[in-house]
Amino acid sequence: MNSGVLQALESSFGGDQLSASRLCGDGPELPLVTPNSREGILEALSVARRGGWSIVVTGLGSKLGWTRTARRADFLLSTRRHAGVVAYEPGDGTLTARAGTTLAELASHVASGGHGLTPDVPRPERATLGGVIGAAQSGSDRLRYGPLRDHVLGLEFALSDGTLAKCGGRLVKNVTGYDLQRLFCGSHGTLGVILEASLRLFPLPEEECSITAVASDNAQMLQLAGKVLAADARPISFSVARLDPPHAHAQWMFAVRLGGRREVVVAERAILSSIFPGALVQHGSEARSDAGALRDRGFGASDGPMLRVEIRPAQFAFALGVLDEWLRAPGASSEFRPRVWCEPGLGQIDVALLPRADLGDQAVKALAQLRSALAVKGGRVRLFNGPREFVHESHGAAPAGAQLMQSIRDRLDPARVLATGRFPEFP
Amino acid sequence: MALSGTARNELKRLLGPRGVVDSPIGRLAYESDGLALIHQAPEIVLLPRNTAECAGAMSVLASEGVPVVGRGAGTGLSGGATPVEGGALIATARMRDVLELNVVDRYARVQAGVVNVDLTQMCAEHGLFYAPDPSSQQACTIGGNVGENSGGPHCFKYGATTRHVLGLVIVRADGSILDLSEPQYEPQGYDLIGTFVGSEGTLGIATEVTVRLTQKPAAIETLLAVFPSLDGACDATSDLIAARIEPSAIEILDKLTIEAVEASVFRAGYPKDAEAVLLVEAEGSEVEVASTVRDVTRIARARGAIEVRSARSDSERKKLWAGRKGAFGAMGRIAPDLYVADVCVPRTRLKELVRETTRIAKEKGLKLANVFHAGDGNLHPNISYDRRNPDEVERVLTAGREIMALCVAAGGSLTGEHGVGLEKRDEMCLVFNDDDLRAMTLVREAWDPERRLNPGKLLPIRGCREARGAHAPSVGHGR
Amino acid sequence: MNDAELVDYAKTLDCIHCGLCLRTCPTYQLTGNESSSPRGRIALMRAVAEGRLDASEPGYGAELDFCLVCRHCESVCPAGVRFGEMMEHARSALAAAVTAPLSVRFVRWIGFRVALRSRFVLARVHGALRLAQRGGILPVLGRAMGARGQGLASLPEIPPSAERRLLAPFTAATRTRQGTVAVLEGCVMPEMYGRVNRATVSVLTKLGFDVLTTRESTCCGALHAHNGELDQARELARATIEAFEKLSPAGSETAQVVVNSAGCGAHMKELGRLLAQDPLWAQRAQRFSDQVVDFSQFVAPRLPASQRLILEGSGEMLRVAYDDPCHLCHGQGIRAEPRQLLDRIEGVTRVEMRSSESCCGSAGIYAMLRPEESQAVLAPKLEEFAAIGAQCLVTANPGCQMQWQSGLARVNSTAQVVHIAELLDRALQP
Repeated sequence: MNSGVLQALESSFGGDQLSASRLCGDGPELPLVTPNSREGILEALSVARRGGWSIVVTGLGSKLGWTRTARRADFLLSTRRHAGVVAYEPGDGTLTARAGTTLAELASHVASGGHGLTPDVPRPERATLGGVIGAAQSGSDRLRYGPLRDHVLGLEFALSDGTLAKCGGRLVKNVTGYDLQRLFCGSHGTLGVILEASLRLFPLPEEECSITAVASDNAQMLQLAGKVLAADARPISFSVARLDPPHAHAQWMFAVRLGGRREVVVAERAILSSIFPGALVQHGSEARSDAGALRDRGFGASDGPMLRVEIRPAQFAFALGVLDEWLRAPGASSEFRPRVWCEPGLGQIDVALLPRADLGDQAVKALAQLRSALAVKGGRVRLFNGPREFVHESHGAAPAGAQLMQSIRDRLDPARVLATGRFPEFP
Repeated sequence: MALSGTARNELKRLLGPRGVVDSPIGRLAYESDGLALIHQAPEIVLLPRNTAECAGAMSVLASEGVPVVGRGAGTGLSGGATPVEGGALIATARMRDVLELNVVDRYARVQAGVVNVDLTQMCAEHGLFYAPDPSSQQACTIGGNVGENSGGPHCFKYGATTRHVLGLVIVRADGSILDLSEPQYEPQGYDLIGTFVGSEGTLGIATEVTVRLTQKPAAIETLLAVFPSLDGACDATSDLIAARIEPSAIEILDKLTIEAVEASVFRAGYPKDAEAVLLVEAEGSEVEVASTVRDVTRIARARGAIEVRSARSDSERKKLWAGRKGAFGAMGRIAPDLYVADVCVPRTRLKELVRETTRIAKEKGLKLANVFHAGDGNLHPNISYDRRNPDEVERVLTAGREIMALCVAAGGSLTGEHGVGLEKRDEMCLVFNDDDLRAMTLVREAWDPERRLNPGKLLPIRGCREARGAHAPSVGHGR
Repeated sequence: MNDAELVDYAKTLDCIHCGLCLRTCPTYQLTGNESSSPRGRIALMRAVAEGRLDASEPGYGAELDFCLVCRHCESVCPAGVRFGEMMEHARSALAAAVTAPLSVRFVRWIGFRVALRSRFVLARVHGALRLAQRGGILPVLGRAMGARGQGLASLPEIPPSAERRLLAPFTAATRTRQGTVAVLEGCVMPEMYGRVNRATVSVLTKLGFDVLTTRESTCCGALHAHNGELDQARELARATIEAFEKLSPAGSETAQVVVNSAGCGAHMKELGRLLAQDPLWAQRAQRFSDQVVDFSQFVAPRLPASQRLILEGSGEMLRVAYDDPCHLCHGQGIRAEPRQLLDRIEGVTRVEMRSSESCCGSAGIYAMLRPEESQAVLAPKLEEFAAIGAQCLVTANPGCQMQWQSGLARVNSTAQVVHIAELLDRALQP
């Protein structure tokens, strides 16, 4: 640990705001500052500027492994303690909160007024508002509500030079000024530090229902999935998990979550029951706890390595075929131990990999093969929480606009205070 | 900087003789967009047919250091496409090809000059439609919609343009082409597309757009609730939002608007004796629609609706919407000119702010009509005037500024869908301070370091601290 | 306002520059150029009125001439801008203010002053054209004239002189008498489409109407008005009104005037407005205009529900597409009646063209004056016509009929082009 950094931080922050953490599993331990105010966050930025240090911005650290590792990091800055609801307007269906508030806290706050919010992420008590925005995290409820970036109405953020700025507002409709909300969504703390955000809320479902069923093989799974997506119903989420180990007559498990007005849910349940005769149907609190259990098995549930395949939803079957073939091929099968989790309506397939610290060249090569096979139909693959060096290789070639992205970053953070090398620098 | 003869010839060579308009008469026709109050003829108008032509033209203009303004159909109401002195105008009117229609993956790739309604008509036979439906959709282009992040009545449910853009091809200020046309559901790296949509031509010119197509709902019902007062209609809207009812559109038209519409080719059968009507549409499954209709009816009646009726047929439904969408133009019957404000307010305060805007107009002896996207809190106070009366013009502008200041003070914003443009540029300081604007300017300069694209739009040209001194008296709103 | 003003300034102020007209404008669709759009032309007119633009700039007149005056923009204009009237005024004032080259003036003089006013000249001209056509000279001549000659080269076949005979002054009803109507014979109509006139009279008599015609008027003046000859148009209007008034004995109710040419009908319905400033004629003109009725508009409500309409043919259904003449749908707001009539004919399947309300490019004498642009305007419609597999194009205006005939011939289509009166006459048993 750089003693100069620690010294500088200690002169500005009390002991309760300082601790230590690692950027990733095998990385060195770094000082972690957790200021309890906006001014504290600005001060941390100022410390970094003065010392010419580079920092990584985080919330509770659950998504640090989602991107490439920072080339240089001198300390971590967490917004976790800049927390609390600033304004909840039940009559307008909007919420403004500080970045460090967890999604669990926000959800319980707005539930009092009959509202809910997206994304519905695993372990919401470990995800901060700033973190989900910074990582543009989606949950399986994206099927109903769309991506988070559609619902971030405004932001307050700090640039690395100490400028405090805002964009958007608290209104559900607004085109005043640039849409920097979208720019910050998914910027992984490389453009500025998100301090506060306003969100659009949704009605909490009056009735909930979960439907669980199985399919014997890929063909049947795809056929049933197609029926669910074509049905006159708007599930909150629709996930399909490969049973591991497979049962004799069941390789896949479906989980459909319905919610909304009572009569709508009743009608949708009837439709889905006709698609899945003999399915397990749960209601009310059981449905909710079912949904919670399900969600906690989904994307982001563990800090272990995982692959995400993304493709246009209609090409889901193609992607699954490619993935299965790839998983069977010698290169991959020797390196990966997959658990497959699909969101057919979103064109996503997540593959949880057994945690291994030593994925080798073989795995890198295998991943490149998967990437080019999927690219035929516009598919992509990303690796999350992988071993440090591997993640560098896994993000593929630079996308169109990489230079422009770099230029945006250079303007907003010219001194490179924020997480240099982390994102979006592509190899 | 003036455009050299060599550059003119090069542009003619690149775009063909029909692609360059530089006669005085040709240029004169481009001196305004939908904001007819401001005139400025461009130095030259360019009509490229594709991305390559546009990029070629842009390179020539870059080497000459000439400012460039983009233009779709010129229906915008904030002066976003008003030319700048000595600058070029690049219009997309000859870029009207549909490049790809993919009904399986539900997207279309179109040239920027494709007209909004043509896109919907084109995919109708596949049970799909393009959701953003600005009132000018009969004329406005997809490229223009991207520039302004256009809304429309149904963006209450479906969201504004930005939610429906999956890809873009952008010609940048230096003439380079940024190809992001592959449909993207999750950006790779920063969300360049999301940043570009609504940037009002200051970051680049979109030449191709990949848009999401939406499946037509199974059922659809349009309700017309007739109110004896505008207050009642506003209250009903606030109640609908507070009760978390989710129709696909909630619109209000007041008496003056109804009269104008009923006198026009878009007469829709709105009751002429009503003080206001609430136009609500419910979409979804049969059960969902029935349930929404029941709730809307109950709430409207509780707030004093005299009558709540449902469109009996598809043609009646279309008429009700055509009337709504023709409302702005129909105001032309009341007076030669129209000032359309576009403020947004929290939906808990609709009644109060609609009343206040009416009061402001009345105090200044102006005629104000209200027709607005109530569900989104997006007010459109329309003030009729005659531009030949300079005193009246001044009163209109003052009223406009007061309305904006009032709404911002109540937690609202300047614009919900028309954009800041030239018209509301200086009022940006009501909402943002110099630091906020600096952050925006930094992003802008990353795209266009010379600030040559649509200069003088969207971002104030003077700092707010400096400008506020000059502005404060007329706005009457201190901070 | 008066004609001395170059532009009807008050009318230009109705336009609030919203742009909803753009997509409907055929010349804007062709060029993508704002000054070739209704909104753009109004902006130019306004600039002239406000002294910011000199009307003698050649570009101004060129943009006015380029317009087809299809008036499609009027159908979508929420502000109710009367674009057609504005164009008539602007063209007329410009013609008066700016001296055109001698050759142009000579051609206009021949056309408007001489030919269109005289049945004798019209008959001779068409006779000569037919001879030239038969002898193969016309196509050669047309091609030799280059772009401008294309109109001549692709002129549909001019019927033999036996076909080009005028209607009888009186034709009696062939069924129980319902009343008396007058029919406008027209100027070019009897020369090119005498058969349409005869079909019109035949349908009316089969419905129980005695039919009167007058030979005292030739051209109603519509072409003059559209082309900026407002003074002559007024002169012809007075003559037309007088001629038709004479058909009804003094004191009796004036007979309705059935018009089978959409352009003439739209103009004649507006004579009240054209002569509004003339104290001697204003009322008479309005009374006359109120009596003018389009063929379909007259027939549709009078065709008994019990009346069967049967088109004898090969036994297969004839796929017909109805193309709205601009001056019927945009000028007169008549869209439903022709479709209702077609839908009643057994043996006919009607298919809709999405572009049915777009101009076909005929636009009076426009197709002759600007063949290239005119054909470019028609091109997308020809494509759609072929794409929907129609075998027969139905129209209600002679100019459109001519335009479609020559257009389809150019693409070697075998589809027929008929006036709705012809199809009805065939389907309506005596």
